[in-house]
Amino acid sequence: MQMFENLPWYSYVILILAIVSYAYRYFKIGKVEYDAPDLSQVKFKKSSNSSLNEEQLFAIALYTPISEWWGADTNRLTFLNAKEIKPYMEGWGIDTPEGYWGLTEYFMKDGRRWYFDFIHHMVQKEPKEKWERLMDEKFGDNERAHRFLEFLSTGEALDTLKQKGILMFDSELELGVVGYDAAVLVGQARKAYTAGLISEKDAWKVINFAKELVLQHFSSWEEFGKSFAIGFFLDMKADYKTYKEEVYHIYKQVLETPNSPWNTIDWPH
Amino acid sequence: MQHIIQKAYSETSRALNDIYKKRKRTLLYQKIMWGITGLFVLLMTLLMLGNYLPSLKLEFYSVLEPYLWNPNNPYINIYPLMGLLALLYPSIFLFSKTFQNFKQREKETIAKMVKTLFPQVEFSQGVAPPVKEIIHSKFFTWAKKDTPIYSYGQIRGKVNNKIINIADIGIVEQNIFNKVTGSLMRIPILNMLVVLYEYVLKNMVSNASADSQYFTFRGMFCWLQFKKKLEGHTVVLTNDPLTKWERLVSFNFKEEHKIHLEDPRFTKNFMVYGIDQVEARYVLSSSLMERIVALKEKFNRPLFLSFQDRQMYMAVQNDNGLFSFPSGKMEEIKVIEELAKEIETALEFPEVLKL
Repeated sequence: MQMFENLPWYSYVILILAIVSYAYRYFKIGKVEYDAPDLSQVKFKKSSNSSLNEEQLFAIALYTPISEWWGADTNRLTFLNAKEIKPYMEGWGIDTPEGYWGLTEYFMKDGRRWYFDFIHHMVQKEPKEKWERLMDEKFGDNERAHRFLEFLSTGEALDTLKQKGILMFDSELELGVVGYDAAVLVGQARKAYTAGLISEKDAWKVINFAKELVLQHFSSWEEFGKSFAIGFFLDMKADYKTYKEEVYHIYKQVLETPNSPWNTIDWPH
Repeated sequence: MQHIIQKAYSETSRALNDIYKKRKRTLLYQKIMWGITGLFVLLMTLLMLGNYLPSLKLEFYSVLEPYLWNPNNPYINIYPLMGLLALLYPSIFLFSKTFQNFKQREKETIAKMVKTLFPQVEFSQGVAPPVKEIIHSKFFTWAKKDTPIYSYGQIRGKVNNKIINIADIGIVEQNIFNKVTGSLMRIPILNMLVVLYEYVLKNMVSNASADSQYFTFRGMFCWLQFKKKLEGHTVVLTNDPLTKWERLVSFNFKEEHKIHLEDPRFTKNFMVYGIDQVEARYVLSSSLMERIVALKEKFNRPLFLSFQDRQMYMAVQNDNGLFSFPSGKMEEIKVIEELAKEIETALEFPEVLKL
């Protein structure tokens, strides 16, 4: 400790500042590292005993970016196993047949497009002074609606998706969120079937509905993918940042990897 | 077109004047900041040499004498360095603030101009660079997925039922020069001289904006669908010794070889690499070669083209950038005319080359 003796007073100030800034950076970097997304590589796992036809495989592929995040098979209806998906089912309140059908009917009828279509149109066409009243009349104090408004009116959704290379032009926002609603329907039907909440026949009914929905709106995987990404961005809360990053990382691989279902299954025309 | 240019000029002339002033201010702060950094590095180098190589008695060392270490005041050499550091912080702050303002204003004005000049195209800023297309084009010998690539904006237009994408990009490749510089940076004392030359001196004398200082390529990058289905790739590069040398020493394109073509005007301006002699001749018909030479003369800058699968890529070097303003006075209509000419030529590209 002798080296610290007989130093001028300002040396102690510099030393304290150095220690404090080092400690601050140490813990700050530690937190960033802890929260860093786990950017995994896609695998497109396939089950050897799949009996799905081309049409069914196409419909299943609508959920690929999220299904890859889970590490589920790309060529069968079953989604992992009941135990692994239990927390998800409870989180969405779809761990009972009533809960599942309630949410599924909502996604079939309205989904997140109920929010998006109204708010996007309002932001584009109506003067800002009217927004509060229009939002109140339509949504009341619905938290999700206000999140959609914030992301769309500030341009945060568009800017973030552009920076990530998912969207390129403002006009692509017109694709809406139908793709996301359809993907959620497919994913939840697979999970509900795996959990034993619905029959295989009912699962395919829902999945086919989702398939028809996307075929009415999009003409390519690229268009569908963009719509999925917009909906996913808007629907996830701010504290799901890490999950968002991971799914977007997978999304880009799903679009670009040659053996991805989006590149091996043709979009029906 | 002239009346639209006139309209764009009347809409943005005040903004151009403002951008000119902002850039002048940014350049001043840029020079001050790098000047202080230069003094700091120089002083540190000299103090190190003075302290550790006292036998190296240079004449001007008498100036530094009061600041060299001595037993009575062991911290004496810290004072001038601390003083420079104290000056460096506010200069960095001022530079980054003015630079941000300048870039923001430039971005807004460019967007307004493009919208007025070419209402038929879609224009976007703040987008991710087209990395996949850039690597696929095979123009850039050292470009990899993790190479720093920046996009300053992208246009998507439709010409003759063909979608054409035009992006303004900047790339910092790990080319031979950067590899050598990187190696020198690992050698003590020598690295300080590299910093003095590469960063300080270049930024002090240059009038270019700080963000385009280190690009190995800056300019326009276009891609569109090509009518012929190709098995391999054919790359047309500007005929210059450096490009040739980079291509030769790189192991990234081992499968390709030089294609020898007969057109003297074309071979004077370009060199062609590909993996199939027959396919390269199928792609580069004599009429296409003539049109490429004409296009090169129109741009009067290095031009690159490549053909692969059903895609065609083109890059035109532009050190100022397509969607950034050139250095110098900007009140004149010439600035808008140049921007309009550049985009118009690129949009006419499928028609000119008869693709």
